[in-house]
Amino acid sequence: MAAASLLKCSVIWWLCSLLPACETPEERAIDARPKKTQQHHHLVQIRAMMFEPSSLDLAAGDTVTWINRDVFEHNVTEEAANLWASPNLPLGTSWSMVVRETSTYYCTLHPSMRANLNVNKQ
Amino acid sequence: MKHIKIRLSMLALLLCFTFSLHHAAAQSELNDAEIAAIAVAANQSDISFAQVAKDRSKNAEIIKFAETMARDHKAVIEQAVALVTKLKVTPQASAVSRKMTTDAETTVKSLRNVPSKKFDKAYIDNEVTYHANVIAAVESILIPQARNAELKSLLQAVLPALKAHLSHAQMVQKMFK
Repeated sequence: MAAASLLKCSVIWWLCSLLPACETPEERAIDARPKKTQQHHHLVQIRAMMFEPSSLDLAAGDTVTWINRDVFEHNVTEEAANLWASPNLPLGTSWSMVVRETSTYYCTLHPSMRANLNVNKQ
Repeated sequence: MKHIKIRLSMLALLLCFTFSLHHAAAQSELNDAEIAAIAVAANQSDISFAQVAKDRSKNAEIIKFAETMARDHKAVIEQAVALVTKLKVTPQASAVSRKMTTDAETTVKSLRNVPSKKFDKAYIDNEVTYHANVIAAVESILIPQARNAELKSLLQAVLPALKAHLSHAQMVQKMFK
């Protein structure tokens, strides 16, 4: 008799744990919050007077690292209003930035070198 | 009238310098040591032109362009010197490299004597013509004639920079039309 009662309680507890209706309103509210998106790290290589890739799709908060693999010094500068800029990067050096906004950037030393960061804010 | 004479004089000098490389190189078979010497002479020429610009110009764009030319062509010379040192090749003067050096000296003298008001345009016009002709010579003569794979590779690696320099020079040139 006691064993049957224990089994019945266990089944009820197990079923309850599976049902969302068993969550408190506070727990449901926590679950409803948007999940924290995973932040990614992207690499842009500078070689042969080009940024590779020349167009990069990423999420707000992602980090981009530019590494200079060219013979010449280069830099990375936001084009529209000079909102951000790296120092000049000699061969083999790199510079990183957390990206928040879509932007076009270029190398001020070689203005024909241009590329884009396309931020998907969703 | 005086300005027209100065312009014609500059144009003649530009043509003299920039076509000498292409024509002289096209007329003879070059060995790798001669090609290395030509590469150094060509880069040294543009460093000399940049030095005149830094001395004479007051235009920020011209000065910035000249600084980039000096920095980039110095980097190419360093790469060329490192390569010939590694390969144990001594750059060897040829009729082509000697003529380039002589013509560059003539162009430098001319740029130093251009009236101040005409200097920026004279300098950037020279840069456009110089880079267009050096690109033609590297593509059609120096790369095809280079035998050593690393020398050929260096010349190929420099081409995008020469093209970027030409594009940059053409952008600056539009300010002086």
